[in-house]
Amino acid sequence: MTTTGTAAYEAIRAHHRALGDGLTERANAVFRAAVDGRPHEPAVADFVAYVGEEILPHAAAEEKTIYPAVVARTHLGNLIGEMITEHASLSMSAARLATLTDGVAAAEQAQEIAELFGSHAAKENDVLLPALIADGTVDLAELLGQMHRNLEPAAPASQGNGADPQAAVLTLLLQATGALARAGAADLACRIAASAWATVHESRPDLATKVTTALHGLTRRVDGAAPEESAHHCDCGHEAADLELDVRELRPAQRHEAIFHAYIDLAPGTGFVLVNDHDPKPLRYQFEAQCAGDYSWDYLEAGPKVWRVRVGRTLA
Amino acid sequence: MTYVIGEPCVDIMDRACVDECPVDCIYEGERSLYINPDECVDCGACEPVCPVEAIYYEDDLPDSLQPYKDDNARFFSDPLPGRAQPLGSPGGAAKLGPVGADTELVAAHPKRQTAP
Repeated sequence: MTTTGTAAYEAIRAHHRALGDGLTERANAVFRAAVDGRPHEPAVADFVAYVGEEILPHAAAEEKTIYPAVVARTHLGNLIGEMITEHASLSMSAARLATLTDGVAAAEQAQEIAELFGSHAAKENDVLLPALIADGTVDLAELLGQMHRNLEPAAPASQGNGADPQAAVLTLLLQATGALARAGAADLACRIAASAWATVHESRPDLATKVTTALHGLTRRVDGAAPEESAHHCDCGHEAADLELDVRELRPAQRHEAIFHAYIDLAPGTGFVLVNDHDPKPLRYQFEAQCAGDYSWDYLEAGPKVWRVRVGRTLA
Repeated sequence: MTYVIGEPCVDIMDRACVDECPVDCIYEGERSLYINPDECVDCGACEPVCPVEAIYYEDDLPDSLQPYKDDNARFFSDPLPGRAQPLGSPGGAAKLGPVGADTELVAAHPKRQTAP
């Protein structure tokens, strides 16, 4: 085999490995969500998108380049039929995965797809490509070039490893809110950051955590009570019956999620008393961004060590 | 206001803080990390994760680390050795990558013996 042929073979193997790793990583994310009892849908959406944007275009390109060469030059025509069937199976399994409502079932399905891809790629690496190389009349580097040309419409802007445009844009937005806060518009900065949080907290919990962290810095610059809220102040004296939600023992990153879960479970007209070790101003900005007009917020104790806030759900 | 990375980071550069920072404002020099005071939002997430307690809110800097407040700022405001332009506000450390240079204060720091 020529040097460029060897390089092309290695490049194809490396690409298969990268695709396999990408699938496994995303299948693990679905599994972790299921085990932790978190919503699995975001991880499934990411997995399915990866299949649609990376795996299937790659498969389609193979069907136009490597597979015809194998059929024309080797006796492996039957195997090619099987390989194309596996591509279809990957596609259908991913479509089914997207409809699963049970987290554990979704995790199993994602795992199955990752395994199918692994055994499928192994056949290409260990059987098809070596047969082409053994034939000796095929220029593997040229086939690889054809594959890339086939992939171009499907993957126009190939991004660097680990590129995460959402994360990059969010970083810039949070830096801008920082500049705004330094310029004296801290309240506006916090409102913008809280809106960003409301936008990403379901689809990207990892980014939402970063926004929450930044909000804890931004609110330091806000004087007095914040924000100029639509919260209704409740003086009906029904705190006695409210449950306490003491989040001081939780890791800071978990607190906001726990509080919003508790809020979602509230019946209209009821509330809970949030107990925390700092003024929950950042949380209030998030409530204002997410639940404006539907929540009430009353400080029962305001530091210096403990803050107690009655958070209520107003009557519709 | 900003957080500041001081002398304990020199030759350690654990980078745990880099992962915590929500605005990606902790930049990697040759021998130390530096917080960009124009990008820091004062959230404090970096401070507790530093294994060598190198990070302080600027008001809380111990006397011995006071010079590092201006020094962190100089990493961005003054041209680094071998460069014509200052870094300024690159808008995120991840996309810039390791800078490969240090301020004079850090470069002149005696080499720390790190465990093998």
